[in-house]
Amino acid sequence: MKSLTHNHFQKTAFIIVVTLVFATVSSGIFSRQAEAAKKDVLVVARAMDINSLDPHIAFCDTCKVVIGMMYETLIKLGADNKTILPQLARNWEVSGDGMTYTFYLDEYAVFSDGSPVESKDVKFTIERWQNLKQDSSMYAKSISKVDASDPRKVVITVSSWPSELLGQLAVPYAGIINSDVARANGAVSTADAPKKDKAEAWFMKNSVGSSPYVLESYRPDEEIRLKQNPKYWGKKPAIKRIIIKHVPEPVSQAQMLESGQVDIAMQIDADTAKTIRNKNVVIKSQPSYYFNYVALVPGATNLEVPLTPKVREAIALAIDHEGMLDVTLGGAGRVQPSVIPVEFPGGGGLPMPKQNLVKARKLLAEAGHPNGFGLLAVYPDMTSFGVSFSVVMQKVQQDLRKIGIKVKLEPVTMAVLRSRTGGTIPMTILMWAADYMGSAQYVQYFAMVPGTTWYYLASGTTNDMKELTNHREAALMEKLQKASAEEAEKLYHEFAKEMINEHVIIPIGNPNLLLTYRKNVLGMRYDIITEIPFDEISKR
Amino acid sequence: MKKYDHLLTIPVIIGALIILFWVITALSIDLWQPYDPLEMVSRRLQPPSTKHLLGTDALGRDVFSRTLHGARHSIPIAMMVVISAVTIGSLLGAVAGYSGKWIDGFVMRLVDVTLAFPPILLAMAVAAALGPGLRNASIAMVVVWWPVYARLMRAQTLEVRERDHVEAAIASGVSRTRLLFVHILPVCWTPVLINATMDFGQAVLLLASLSFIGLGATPPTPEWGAMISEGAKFFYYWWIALGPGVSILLVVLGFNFIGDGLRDYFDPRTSD
Amino acid sequence: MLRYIIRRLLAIPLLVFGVVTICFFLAHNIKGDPLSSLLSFRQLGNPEIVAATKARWGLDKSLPEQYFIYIKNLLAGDFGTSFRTRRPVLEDIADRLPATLELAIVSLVIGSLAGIFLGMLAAYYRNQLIDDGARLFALIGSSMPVFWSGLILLFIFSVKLQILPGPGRLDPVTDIPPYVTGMFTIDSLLAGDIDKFLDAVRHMILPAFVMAWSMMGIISRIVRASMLDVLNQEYILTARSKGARELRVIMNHALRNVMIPTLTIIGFSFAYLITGAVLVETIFSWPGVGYYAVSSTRALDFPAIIGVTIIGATAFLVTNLVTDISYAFANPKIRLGR
Repeated sequence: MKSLTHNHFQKTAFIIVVTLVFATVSSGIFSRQAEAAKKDVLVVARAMDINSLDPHIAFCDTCKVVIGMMYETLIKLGADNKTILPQLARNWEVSGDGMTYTFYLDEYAVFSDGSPVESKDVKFTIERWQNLKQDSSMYAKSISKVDASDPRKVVITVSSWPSELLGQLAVPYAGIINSDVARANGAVSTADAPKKDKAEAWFMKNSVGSSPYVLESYRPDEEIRLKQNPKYWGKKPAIKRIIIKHVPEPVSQAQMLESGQVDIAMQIDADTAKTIRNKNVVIKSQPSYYFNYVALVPGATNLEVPLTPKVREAIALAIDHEGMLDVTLGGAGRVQPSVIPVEFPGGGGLPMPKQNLVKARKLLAEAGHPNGFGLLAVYPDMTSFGVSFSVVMQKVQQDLRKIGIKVKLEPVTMAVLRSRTGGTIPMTILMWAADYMGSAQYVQYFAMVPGTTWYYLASGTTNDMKELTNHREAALMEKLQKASAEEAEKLYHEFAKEMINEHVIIPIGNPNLLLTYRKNVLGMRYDIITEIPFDEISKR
Repeated sequence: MKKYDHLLTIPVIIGALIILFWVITALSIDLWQPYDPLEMVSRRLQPPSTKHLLGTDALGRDVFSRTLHGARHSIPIAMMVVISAVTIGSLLGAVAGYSGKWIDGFVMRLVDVTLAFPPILLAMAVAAALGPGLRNASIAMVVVWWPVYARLMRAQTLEVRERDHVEAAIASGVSRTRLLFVHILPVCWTPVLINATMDFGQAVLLLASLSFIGLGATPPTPEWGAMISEGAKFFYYWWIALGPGVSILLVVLGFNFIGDGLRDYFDPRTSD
Repeated sequence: MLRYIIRRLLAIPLLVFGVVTICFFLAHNIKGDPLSSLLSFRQLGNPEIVAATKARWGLDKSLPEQYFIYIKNLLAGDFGTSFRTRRPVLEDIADRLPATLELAIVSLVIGSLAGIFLGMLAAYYRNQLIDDGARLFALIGSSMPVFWSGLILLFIFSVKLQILPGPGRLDPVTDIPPYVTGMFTIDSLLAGDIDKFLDAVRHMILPAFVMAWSMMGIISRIVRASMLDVLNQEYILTARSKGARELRVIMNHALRNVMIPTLTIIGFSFAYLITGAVLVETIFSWPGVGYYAVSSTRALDFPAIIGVTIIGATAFLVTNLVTDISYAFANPKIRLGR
């Protein structure tokens, strides 16, 4: 009796099961086809942190990569990350006193619309860069005048920090833009640019550089696509299309790399790399130029105890740097003594930090806190260069507990962190990636001298904490203005020592760079400016 | 006796046992924990073994201990949130129900506006406004939940208001408060109880969701949603997310079983 | 009945206004100066830049003033510009809506069909093992945190077994199909590209299943209850004794009875769809409105947060109204308007 209605269910169930099986089986077959990616298309997995595609507003790690691909600079760095090579400028001269640079533009250089690259474009670029006053403009700070009277040559006069201009002009944010097209779309280079310039939205959809690639499309949170510039004036690269997919988790990146869905994964950390078993994936480890650091903020308003020099030194001495490397990187990195990377001018030969709990406790007692105190740490809950900040803070918490300091953790988003600068962050952790080969960037950012970013941040609400000013550093900065390259190196060395002894910025690790890519990708290397020189890559 | 037979069906018993287990765990875990949930006790990212039943996480902490400790946060908070929502909502709903016109209109408009928000978006918005942390997430959840109980209570109150004993009480001049607490509320509690029981489980889920997004528990708190979030980052090390996920599932199932059982008991129509 | 509908419809704009007001004040009380979402550390230290940015984004006006400007713009269709993407919020949402809709519709279909099927199964075989099994399966789906089931299934099917693709809507190399609706399945079919269509479908299997599973609990519960209502009636008992054909007719009748509250079912599911959208999109890197909501919340991007919440709430209000009306139609015993 039940048989007939039974059939209803049986039939439906049967159909459902068959459909499911078919769907999964067919997908199994088709997913193999993901392997066959074309030879002239490069797919990259990366956690994108793009804040803008306007070369003079953008300032982020992914921005460096992408802007570096869409715009060319006057000069570029060679494969050794040190030698300066011609790009838009075929040669250049520096005046005897080091204050005037003359660049002779390559007469073959043209923009993506075919129009020649001329000195007026360089002038427009540099002036817009300076006047928009965004983050990256600190690299243009030294430029006082740009003379574009001759269309084929640019004369740049500097007012300070002469020795690093060439390095700074190789930064992606110094990419030369097509001034005519930019102007036509709302770009303004004069002093009122912050109010009048309306081109940012347009830059999110278009690129106007002279490089081998142009922007094809950008979908926030998804991907960015670059395609070949058909009018490129130099040697055409093997890769005609680049697709950077937004993949926020290193583990997902690893999975996509192993399954062949992407050719290169840019942010796989050491732990995840260990799990990759696929023979078609190459993993290369090498030293990098970026680092993560713990920062103490003496000017914070919610300090239980003032962060005097003795207290700060005690905190710095309590940190177990080797253990930190082990916990955060599995040992795949180096301890970095100061903010200046070891290979950079002035970064070598500095005393390595060593944990000294006895001395730390003694200093605390001398400072009047023999039983320790409470300390709040407000930090961005993110992973930077393979290092999870939460893991770092928890290790710091463990270390400081040994000298009686009870650290309370408050992870926040980056946005919240920024909003609380100006007073309520006693301790935090951040990172810095070298923008170019040179040490001026560290002084400009980290020195405890009024005018630098970290002076402002460390001072809290006051933005001007007299006792924080390091007059010796200020004196060094004065000397650097007129120093030669050798003298500068010695001065940077002094700087590094000063910054170490301040114990405001405490580097906690220089992670190794991991290059992770499929075996058939050739030409991979680490480029300090763009991370990966995509125009040198080809696929077998 | 027959009444209780109906209630104590197998699912209800299973549910009760599950919840009992977790409540006892939450209360006593400090005494019998295998390891300290916050301390680094072993090499990191070890797979499950006899020493560490659920392996170790990215900081070398014992996942099993952390999972058990998760109950200390999720269960009390879920209960507190629901009880607060029930209390606030019921009071407001009942007051609206028998006060009429102005108060009724005001409360119900408030209810309507709050219910206009998709729950998770409202919880996200409030939690984001207040900042991360379990306390703020709890407040956000109470804001999301109270209207349901207000509506429920109000409907009940309106119905009960017509009843004889209530009319008699009103006629004899009983004070409003006494009316509310002695005559109205005690009669209306059944649907509230059923709803609240199911909501305990939903609260655990919502808390975990908020923590997963980053708006609830902060490290190193071993809250289940936050642990799953960590587990998502360390995908290949599947044991990190396993414990918390199964725990949430069991707790919610437990409350659902009990709630279903209660519903069947009080309203046999919906069973068979 | 008509009066009820009209009253509810008229209430919607007022409620939306309330929603907007609440959102606005929530957003501006968020622990965090809006400026910090726009500027970096260096810029925050420069008073010139701070003043210029405030002026540019209208943040230098008083709160009530900002509120009125916001309402005025809203009425003109301008939801403001996102701090994070630097594009109009409406454009951002419109861009992402097709992805969410596509996933939501597929999930709804799967969830409804499965839920109805399970409910029917449970009702027909009530109190037998199949009833318990079906109900348990549905209940587990609704009791699991959806971001966890997504993770586990991803791990099993994509990483270990490798028969389903990883997160995302399409394989990385694939171009998006030419834009017609923004839904990749439809667009690729319209363009005649079967490979792309299958690729899009493959990528939807896991997220849609996960979302559907979370809905099966409530759907199967409603269906089961509805069917039991019908099946319990007297004439069923007589039909049973009369033979198979009668019973078949009754089952069909019961089924048709269940179809009427379909809109109701969909309505109840809507909350699950939105919750699912937020959590599932995050796990599967599905670039829809849910993912956008999470990213915006994390970045304290006020215009985006308010925009998404307003649109979400409005949609929610409308679907709730439809649900309530259809529920009333299906269940005339419910007194409308109390």
